[in-house]
Amino acid sequence: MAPGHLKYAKTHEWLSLAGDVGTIGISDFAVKELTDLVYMGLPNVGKKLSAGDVFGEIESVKAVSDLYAPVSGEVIEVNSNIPNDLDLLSKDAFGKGWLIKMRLSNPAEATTLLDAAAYEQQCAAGH
Amino acid sequence: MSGLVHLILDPPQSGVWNMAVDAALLEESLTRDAIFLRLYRWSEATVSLGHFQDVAEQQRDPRLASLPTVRRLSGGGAILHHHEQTYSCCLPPSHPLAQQPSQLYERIHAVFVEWLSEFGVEVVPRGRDSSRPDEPFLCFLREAAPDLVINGHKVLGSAQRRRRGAVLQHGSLLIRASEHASELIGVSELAPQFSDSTTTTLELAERLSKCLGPEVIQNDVPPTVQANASLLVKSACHDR
Repeated sequence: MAPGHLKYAKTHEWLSLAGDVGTIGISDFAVKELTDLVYMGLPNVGKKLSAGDVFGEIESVKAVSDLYAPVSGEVIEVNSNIPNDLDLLSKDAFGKGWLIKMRLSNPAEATTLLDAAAYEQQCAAGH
Repeated sequence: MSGLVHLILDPPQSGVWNMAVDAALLEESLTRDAIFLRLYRWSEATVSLGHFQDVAEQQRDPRLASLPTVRRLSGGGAILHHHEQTYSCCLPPSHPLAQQPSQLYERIHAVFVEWLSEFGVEVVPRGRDSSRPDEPFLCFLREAAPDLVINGHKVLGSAQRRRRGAVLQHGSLLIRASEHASELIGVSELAPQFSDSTTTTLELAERLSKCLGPEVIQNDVPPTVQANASLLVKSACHDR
């Protein structure tokens, strides 16, 4: 179930916004679709990203997939627990499984993301 | 998407070039909404590392340490490419088989099963994943459900890279053992009736094409893909 206070990208990343700082992760739907996770690569602090840029990569037993920044800005924190404990994503994708924090350069971009209901509709359609 | 499969039958090339072309075809598939199928081999014994694998692991095996190395876009274990038939297919997001990773593995591997059965070779999907916490370095010593095996010996393994809804899947059919890893035996050793020839490769290409789309056209690597692959090769050399 997608928490109602978050915004969602069509590519399954979620965004939690507090002022101009956004916390970003991937949804539990995406984690389940990926199945067993094996590796994850995350960016360094200081990396500047535009909305839609690749910010990380995740390998599951099925495939390697890219992760996309839902908004533009600079990476100010990376969840260093994740690469060594990918179970955090399966157990708490919307909490302890967060991936990066960004200082947004254009917070208005967040309004273009999906709300929980629209995202759940997309997931129900199997996308 | 038109349903037209662009079939590329490439001559043996270096590992760096082979992986650069696969990467460039994935981008081309996204940009042009096109389907590509490529069959190729390797001009010299080469180790391809899974996307996140540590090159130091290769150095620990003296048989592999001196071989050329390339990193794949896809994950999984390292592959020693020597006497093998390699395939790659790139599907745009609009292709029905691009949606579910498992389906694409199943469909492509089913084509290999059917093709090999024409030679009287009994090859079956492994059907279960390994639960080993410490995976071996080489892909062909690992166990995944979609692998094709003959009497328990893995002869075909595939891996995927997914990008913006498009997918690159490539895989290796082990034809015969390499002197660099003689414990990995291929179809020719396991089923001597198997014939590896240009004619049989063409038959395989035809079957794989039909699996991906109703029409097929044989092309060389498109010029835009050649150009992008050249850039990727330069970038890979620069990163070393």
